Amino acid sequence: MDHFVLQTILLYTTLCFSTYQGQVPETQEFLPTFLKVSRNLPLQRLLVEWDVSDLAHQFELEMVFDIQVSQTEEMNVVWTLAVAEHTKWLTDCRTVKFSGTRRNVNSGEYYNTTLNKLNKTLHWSWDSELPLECMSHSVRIRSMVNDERFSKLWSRWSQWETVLGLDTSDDYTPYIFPEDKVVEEGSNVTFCCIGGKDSRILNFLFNYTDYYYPDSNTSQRNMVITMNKVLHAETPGIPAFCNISGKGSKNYSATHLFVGKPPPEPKDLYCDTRNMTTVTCTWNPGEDTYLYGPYSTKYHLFERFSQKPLCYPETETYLEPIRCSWAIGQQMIYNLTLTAQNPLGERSAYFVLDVAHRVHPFPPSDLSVEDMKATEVSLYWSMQPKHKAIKLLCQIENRHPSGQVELHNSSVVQSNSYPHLTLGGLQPFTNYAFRMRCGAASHFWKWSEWSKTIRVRTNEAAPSGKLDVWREVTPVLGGWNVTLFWKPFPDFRANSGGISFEITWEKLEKASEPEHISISASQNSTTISIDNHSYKISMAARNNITSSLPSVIIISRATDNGAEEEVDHTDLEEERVNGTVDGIYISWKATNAFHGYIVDWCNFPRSQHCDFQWKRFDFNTSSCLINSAAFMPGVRYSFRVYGSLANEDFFLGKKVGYTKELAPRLNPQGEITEMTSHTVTITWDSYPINESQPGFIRGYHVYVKTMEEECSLKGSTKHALSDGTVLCKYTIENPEEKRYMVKHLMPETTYALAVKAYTGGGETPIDAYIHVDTLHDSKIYLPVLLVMVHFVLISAVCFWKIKWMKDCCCPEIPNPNKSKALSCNGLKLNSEAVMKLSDCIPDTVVLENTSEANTLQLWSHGTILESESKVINPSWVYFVQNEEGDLMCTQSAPEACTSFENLAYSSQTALGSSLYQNLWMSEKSEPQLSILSYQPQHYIEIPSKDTVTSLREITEREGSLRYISQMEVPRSEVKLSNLPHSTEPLEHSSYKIQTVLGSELVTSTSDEDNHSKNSSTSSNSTVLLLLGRH
Amino acid sequence: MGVVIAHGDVSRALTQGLFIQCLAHVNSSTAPCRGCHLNSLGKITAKARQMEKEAKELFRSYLTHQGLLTSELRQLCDEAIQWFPTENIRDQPKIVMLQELYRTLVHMNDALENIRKQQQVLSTPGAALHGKLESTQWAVKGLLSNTVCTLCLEGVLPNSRRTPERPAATNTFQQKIDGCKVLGNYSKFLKKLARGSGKKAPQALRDQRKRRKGTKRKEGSSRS
Repeated sequence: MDHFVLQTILLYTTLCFSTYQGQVPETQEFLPTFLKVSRNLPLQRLLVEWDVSDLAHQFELEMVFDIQVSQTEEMNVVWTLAVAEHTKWLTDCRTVKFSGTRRNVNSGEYYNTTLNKLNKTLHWSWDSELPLECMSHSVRIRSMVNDERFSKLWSRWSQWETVLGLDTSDDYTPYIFPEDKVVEEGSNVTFCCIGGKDSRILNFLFNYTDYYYPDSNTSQRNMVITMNKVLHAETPGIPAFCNISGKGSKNYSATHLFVGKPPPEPKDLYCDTRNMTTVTCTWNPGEDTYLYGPYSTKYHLFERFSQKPLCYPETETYLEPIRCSWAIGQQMIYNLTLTAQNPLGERSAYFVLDVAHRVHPFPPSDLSVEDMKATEVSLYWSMQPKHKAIKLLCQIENRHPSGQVELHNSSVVQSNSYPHLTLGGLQPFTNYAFRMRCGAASHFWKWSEWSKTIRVRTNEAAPSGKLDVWREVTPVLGGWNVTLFWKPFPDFRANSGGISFEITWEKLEKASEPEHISISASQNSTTISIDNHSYKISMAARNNITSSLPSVIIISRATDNGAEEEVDHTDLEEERVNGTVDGIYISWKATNAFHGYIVDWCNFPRSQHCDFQWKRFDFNTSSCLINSAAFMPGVRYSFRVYGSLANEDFFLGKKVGYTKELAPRLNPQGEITEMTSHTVTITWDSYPINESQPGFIRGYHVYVKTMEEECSLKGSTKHALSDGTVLCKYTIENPEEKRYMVKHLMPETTYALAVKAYTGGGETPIDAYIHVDTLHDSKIYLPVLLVMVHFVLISAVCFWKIKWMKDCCCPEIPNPNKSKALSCNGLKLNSEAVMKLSDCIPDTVVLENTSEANTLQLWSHGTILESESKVINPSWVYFVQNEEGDLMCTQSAPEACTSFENLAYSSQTALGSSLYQNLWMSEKSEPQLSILSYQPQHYIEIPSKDTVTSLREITEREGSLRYISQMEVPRSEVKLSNLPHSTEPLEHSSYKIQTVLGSELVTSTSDEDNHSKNSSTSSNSTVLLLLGRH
Repeated sequence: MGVVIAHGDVSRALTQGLFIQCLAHVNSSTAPCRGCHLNSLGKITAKARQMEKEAKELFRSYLTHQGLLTSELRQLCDEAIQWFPTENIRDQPKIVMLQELYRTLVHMNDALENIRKQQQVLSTPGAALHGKLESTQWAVKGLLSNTVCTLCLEGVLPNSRRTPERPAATNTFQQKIDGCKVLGNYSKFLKKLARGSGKKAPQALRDQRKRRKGTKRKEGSSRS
C-alpha cells in the first residue's frame, strides 16, 4: 500500500515536472517506436517488435496497443489487435481485398502485457492463413495509456512497416505456396500462385481434375484460392498445379498437399519378457494416418523413473505391430510413456510395468518320451531361462487319434531343471500326440507357444471287450449254412496291430470235437455249415498277446425255434411298417421272456452284397427307428425282429417298409381278353406286386377314354387329366385282382383303356392306351326277325287254308251280312242297319281279375264283371264262336256292347310299352318279352279257332300297333261312326298319335317303362354313335 | 544431391572393384574377366530387349500411379535429362558405346535409388510401384555388370567421369516430375539400345550377306 502511494506521488511529480517543462501535457501520447516486422516462414508467422518511450516503462503503465496488419501494397487492413489489460477483449472485423479473391477476416485476440522498467522490447506475432510469401504484409501500431490518471486517447499511428511478398519481385520464377504442406483432413487450405514478372496465372488445378480460374479484374500475377475441407487421396500427395503464361522459362508452379490425420492412440499395447533378460513392448499403430515416409508416425518410449528414452521405433505400415525392446537391469518396475507423433500432432500413453508380472516363457524344448508302457508314458522336457530360475507351470496336451484332446497340468517346476511327467490311463497300442507349453507359476501372464509335437504309440496289450456277433441261417441239404457277421462292441479294443478272429463251434446235445477256423482281420463275415443238431458257436478276437472274451450264439436244431423259424417263418405274413425320411419305425411286443432284442436288415436289399446290418436293444425296448445313410426312397426294406435269450435268438416277426413310397415305375401290361358289344375285359396277370415295386401296390386304376368330352360310363368316376381330357376311372382296391370288365359300353365304338397301379406314392401319369372297338350288337334285328317269322307262318297258314279263308272272309258275293265273322243276328252293316245288342248272344263269359284286365284286357276272353266296368271303361264286345263255329258278337253288359274299342287306344299304357319293348329289346326285358311271346299266340290261335278277326289286323297288332291305329281304326271308325256311343275312338285317335311315342318315353315310371326308357336311351345312343362315327 | 553422389560412389566403387577383379583374373589366369560371358555384347542386347518392355511398363505405371496422365502434367515428363545420351549410342564405336552405356547406367542406378526414396512419401507402403522400381533397379545393376564385363573383355577400364547433375529438387512435386522424366528418358534410351544401330545396320547387313555368299560359293565349289 505504501509502495502504491509512493509510486503515485512519484508519477504525479514527474508529470508535473514534465508539464512544467511543457513536454508531457495531459494528453500525453506514447507513440510506438522502433517498429520491426519479420517472418517465420516455416511457421508462417509474422513477428512484430516495437518499443515505447522510456517514461512509460519507468512508470510501468498498462497500455493498449492497436496493431493493424495489411496485405498487398494497397495497405488493406486485415487484422487489428488491441494489446491491453486482460479484462477487456476487443474484436475487430475488417474486409480486405486480395488481389485474387475477397475474404473476411474476423478475429480478435488479447495479449496481456505490462510494461516494466527494464525497457524490454515489446513482441507480438501473427499467424497467417495465407502464406506470407504470397504478398507483402505491413504493420502499424498506435498506443493508448490504460490508466485512469490519463485521458484515454489513441496516439498517432506509427509508420507502416512492410515485408515484401514474392509477387513484388522482378524474378521470372513462378512460385506456389504453401509447399508440401501437411494438413489434417477436413481443414481448409489456402494456396497462392505467383507468376514471374509480367506473367499471368492461367488456371489452378487441384487434385488432377478440379480447375479454377482467376478473376479477370485482378492483376493475374497472383492467385489466391482456398480449398475447403480437404480429404486424403488414394495416393499420398495431392497435387496443386498452376498454369502460367509469361516470359519465364518455366510456365508452371506446382506443389503437393499431404492430407492426413494426427497419430491415433496406440492399440493393444503390452510388454513382457521371455527370458528375464530383455523386455519387449508391442503395440499396434492403429488406424492409417495417410502420411508416409518422413511424415509417418514416430514413436518414442520414455521411462520416467530413470528419465531415459528406451527406443524410437518407426512405422513402416500401420498394419504391422511395432516392437520396442530393452535390456532388464536391476530395475524391475518401469513407469513408461509411449508417445506417437507426426506433423499433425502427438498422442501419449502412460503405463507402469512390473516385469515379474509379465513373464511369457519360451516354449519348452527337447520334449521326449521314456518308459513307454501299454497304458502310460513318461514325458521329459527342458525350459528357459536357465541362468535365472523362475517357477513355471506346464500343460501337456494329449491328442487322441479320434481328435479328442486332453490337457494335463504339471506341478510347479523350476525353469532350470529337467522335469518329467507320467501320464496314465492311456489305451494300449494307440497313437498319441503330445505337446506342451508353460507359463509363470506366480503372476501368470501368458502361456508360452506350444512346443514341437511328438507322436508315440503305446505298447500292445490283450484285446479288451467282446465282439458283437450275429448270424443268418440258411437251410441246405442235411443241415444249415450259418453266416456269421461280427463287429466290435463299443467297448472292444484290439490293443494290437495283428488281430484275427477265432471261431469255434460244437454240438450242444452230445459231446463232440469242436471245429475251429481263424479269420483274418479284414473280414467281418464268414459262413460255416452245420448239420441238423443244435450248435454253440463261439467267437473271439486274438492279437499278438492273447484272445478276447468269446461271444457265444446258439443255433438250435430244426425242431427248435432257433432254426425252425428260418424254414417256417419265411412264409409268415409280413407286417407293413411306415417309414419317413428320418427312418423306418419298427415296433414289437416286448415281454419279460427275453434279455434283449435284435433287428436285422440289409442296407442294399436289391444288391447281391446287401450290406447286412443288425442292431441290439435291451429288454425293455419295444420299438426303434432304423435309419441308415444307405436308405433310399422307393426301396423296400425288410426287417427281422428276434428276441434274445441266453445266447439263443427267437424270431418274432418280419416287417417291411419304405422310407418313402414312390409311384410304380412299371405299368401293368393290360391285355384285352374278352369283348362284347357292351363290355371289355382287360387283364394284367403278369404284373408283379412284390418287393421289386417302389411302394406297396395298393390297387389299380382302369381308365377309359371315350369320344365324349365327359365321362358317362356307369360305375365310373371322372378323372381329369392336366390337358383337360376327362377319363372314366374305375378303382380296383385289391392288388391281387388283375382283371376288370368295363361295362355299359356302346357297340361298335372305339375306346382307349389304360391300367395304372398305384402305391402310397401315387401313380405315374398315363403314357399309353389300349385302343379297342366294341362289337356289333346283333340283338337289334331280333324283333324284325320275329315279325318276319310270324308273317311267314301266317302267310303259310293262310295259303294252306286259303279256301276256307276265302269262304269265310271273302265270299263270292261280297256281302257283309254273309260274313260269318259278322254273323250277329239282325246285325246289318248297311247304312240304316242298327245292330241290336239283344241280338248278340255271347257264348261264353270270361271273368278276369282287375290286374289281368289291366295288363291283358284287350286279349281276354269272356265277360267283365259289372263292378269292374267302371275301371275298365268302356265295356268290351267279345267275338265268341258259337256252336256253329261262327263268331258271335256277344254283349258283356247292356251298355258295353254299344261301341267298339280301338285296341290301340285302349291299351296305350300296357300295350304301348310292350310294343316299345318289342322293338328295342335289352337284356333286362325278359319278363316283358315273355308277355310279348304270349300275345302273338292269341293271334295265332284266333284263326285256328276260326275267329273272324282279319289276319292282317292280327299281324299288324303283333308287328306294330302304330300301324293298326293309323290304318285300320279309321276305316272301322268310318263304319262304326254312326253307331251310338262310338265317338270316343276319334278322341283316342287324336290322343294316340301324341302319346304312343311321347308318354312312354317321358311319363312312364313302371318297370316296363324304365326298360322303355333304357331302350330309348339306347336308341338315342345309337344315333349319337352314328354321329360319332362321322 | 549428397545422397545421390553417395550412391553413385558406391556403384562406381562396386563396378570398379569388379573390373579390378576382372583384370586381376586376366593377369593371374588364362581366363581373364572370370564369370563374364564371351558374348557379353549379345547378352547386353538381349538384356536390353527384355528391359525395354519392363521400362515401358514402369513408365506407364509411374504415370498412372502418380496421377500424371493429364495433358498438363504428362507433358512435363517429356523434357530431356541431361545425362541420357542424345544420340543412339549403338551408332558409335563399340568402346565408346560401352563407355556411354556404363555412364548412363550408373546414373540410372542412382536416379532409381532416388525415386524409390521419394516414393516413400508419394506412395502407400504396399503400392505395386515400389516392387517395379526395385525390380528395375536390379535389372539396371545386372546390365551394368554385363557392361563392365564387356569392357573387361575389351580390356578397357570403365569411364569414371560423370556428368554434373542439377541439385535435387526439394519440392516433392518437382521430385515426382524429375522421376517421371528419368523413367521416360530411360524407356526411350532402352528402346534405342534394344533395336540396335540406326546407321550401321545396313553395313552389318551387307557384311552378313557377303558372309552368306562366301559360304555358298564354298559349298558350290566343294560340290563341283
